[in-house]
Amino acid sequence: MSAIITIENLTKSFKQRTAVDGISFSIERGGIFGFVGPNGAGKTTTIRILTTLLQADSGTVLVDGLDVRRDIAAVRRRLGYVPDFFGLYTDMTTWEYLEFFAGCYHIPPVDHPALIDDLLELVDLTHRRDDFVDGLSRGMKQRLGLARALIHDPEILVLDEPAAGLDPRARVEFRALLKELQQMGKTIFFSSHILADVDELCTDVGIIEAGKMVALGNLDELRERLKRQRIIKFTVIGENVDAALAVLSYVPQVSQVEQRQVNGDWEVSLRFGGDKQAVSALIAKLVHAGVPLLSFSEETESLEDMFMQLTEGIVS
Amino acid sequence: MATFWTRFKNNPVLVNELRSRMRGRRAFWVLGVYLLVLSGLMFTIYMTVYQDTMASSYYYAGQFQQSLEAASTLGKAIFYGTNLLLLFGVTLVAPAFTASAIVSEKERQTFDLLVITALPARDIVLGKLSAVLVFIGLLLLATLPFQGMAYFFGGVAFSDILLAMLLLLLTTLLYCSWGLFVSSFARTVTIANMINYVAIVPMLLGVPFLLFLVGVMSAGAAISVFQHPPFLVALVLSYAILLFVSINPVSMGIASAIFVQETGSYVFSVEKFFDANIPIISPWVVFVVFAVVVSYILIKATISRVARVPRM
Repeated sequence: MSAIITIENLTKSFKQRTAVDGISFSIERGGIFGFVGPNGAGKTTTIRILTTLLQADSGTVLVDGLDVRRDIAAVRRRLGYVPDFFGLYTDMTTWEYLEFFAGCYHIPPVDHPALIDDLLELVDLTHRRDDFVDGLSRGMKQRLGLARALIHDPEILVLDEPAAGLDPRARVEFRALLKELQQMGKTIFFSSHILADVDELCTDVGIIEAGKMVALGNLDELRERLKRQRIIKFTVIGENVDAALAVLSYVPQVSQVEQRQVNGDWEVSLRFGGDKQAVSALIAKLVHAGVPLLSFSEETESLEDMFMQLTEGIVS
Repeated sequence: MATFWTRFKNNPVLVNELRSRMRGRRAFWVLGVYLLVLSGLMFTIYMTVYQDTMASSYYYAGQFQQSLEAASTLGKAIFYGTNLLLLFGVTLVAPAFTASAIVSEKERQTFDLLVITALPARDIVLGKLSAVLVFIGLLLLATLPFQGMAYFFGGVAFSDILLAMLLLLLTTLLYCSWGLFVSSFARTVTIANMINYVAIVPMLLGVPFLLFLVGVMSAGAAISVFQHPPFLVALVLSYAILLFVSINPVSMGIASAIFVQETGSYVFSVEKFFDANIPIISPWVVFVVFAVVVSYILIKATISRVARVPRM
């Protein structure tokens, strides 16, 4: 896969404050990239520069090989942008709102009905097509914003805090919609401080704090890299927990072993300092020692834990 | 031409603005109240001038008959009354119509979404401007019956009505362009309106006041330069006053009417000013050039501001 967005040494200051401090990253075509960071970290500034709405002080931003400073019109055609505010004309109906933006992208009027019908169906707003935008719920407004961003069929979707302020159901629906769009071949770049959304959706993440990128890469790889201690849980059938504890006592990477009886079986949890191969070897030892294992699992470290490890709470 | 028309009628900003302006009963009420007020004022002018014209009427066949001269006085009074009122009104109202055009997009956070589309800044600005021009054009068109009434009474030529319409439309263009330019840099709609009126009201009232001052000074010979000046000084003074009179739509309207009445020409005459024979162009011609040039500059400046990618 090739990079569709490339950002190199991007810097932007507002008077004395450096909002973005020499960040570099790239986004693969067809991927979902989560841009994570606390409020004031520089996410929106980066997005505004990427979407040609703000001039950078220095650095290069390329969208599909096009420079955002020089090829403004061409870059804008490739991007669909959903800002962190609704930006709606409240005296329009849902249909008129999309028709207006279809006109802004020079889509021939004859194509408007079919296109708008398709988009309303995609974002599940067909039943609200003649309602005034002002009367829609937050979730519906957000979905309408997404339909607007898709009206010219862009290759890339840039979403700034898309799930902020949405209720849990609306967030789940929105995530499903983004997954569907990725399956349709769109590259999605979105910022969020709702880590559960990023965790579920993204293939790659960039964690930014005080204008600097503190972590970047594939989410699973990042997890692997950041893991110092794994949390492992396994269940032993019946009363055979002693055999398991005996095995564990000979493994130097094991610490903090706890056991408790659940419905007649024993559940054991422990901290383990080894890599994937060491985990596999541990399972083999338990089986070889005749421990009747019912289940064996490793608790995945949440993005929230990673975020807390990586950031220090600094705001630029 | 076909391309221009297609672009014009398909401009989504124009369609959106007109749809929004004409939706519901608001446009109907604006038009209704506007015509009602104008009718009331015309009726007042009619009744006032009618009383004066009775003196020149004669009694025939058991009732008073208006002489042709009296009817023409009535026609002129209605024509000049309507148009001076409209010039004054347009100067005050037009900037308010466009003051919110761009800044309101920023206030409701739709500006970014609009400029990021494929629509060029030129189409955004011209769409906003034409929507207001179309609406004010509709209001001006609605006054045609008053102009027709003046034509019916006599004393007003058809060319006078056409000229009045041209000047009203150019005044609308000039002040709408000014309002739009202010809207492109003001931070809020309120600030845009304040800037508009801080600039326009002194011009609207200040020009007649300064002209009055110059008149008093030259009549009272307070400054020696007004007494038998050399030809070159007389020429410069005359043209300075002409330019000054011509950039204010109301003083331009009055001066143009006097020019046509006194010289019998619409465009050019040689008149005696400061004891010298000065070739003078009618103030409306100067205004047309001024309005077209200044509007063009203001529109270009607005487009450039909308197209600019900000640094902050």
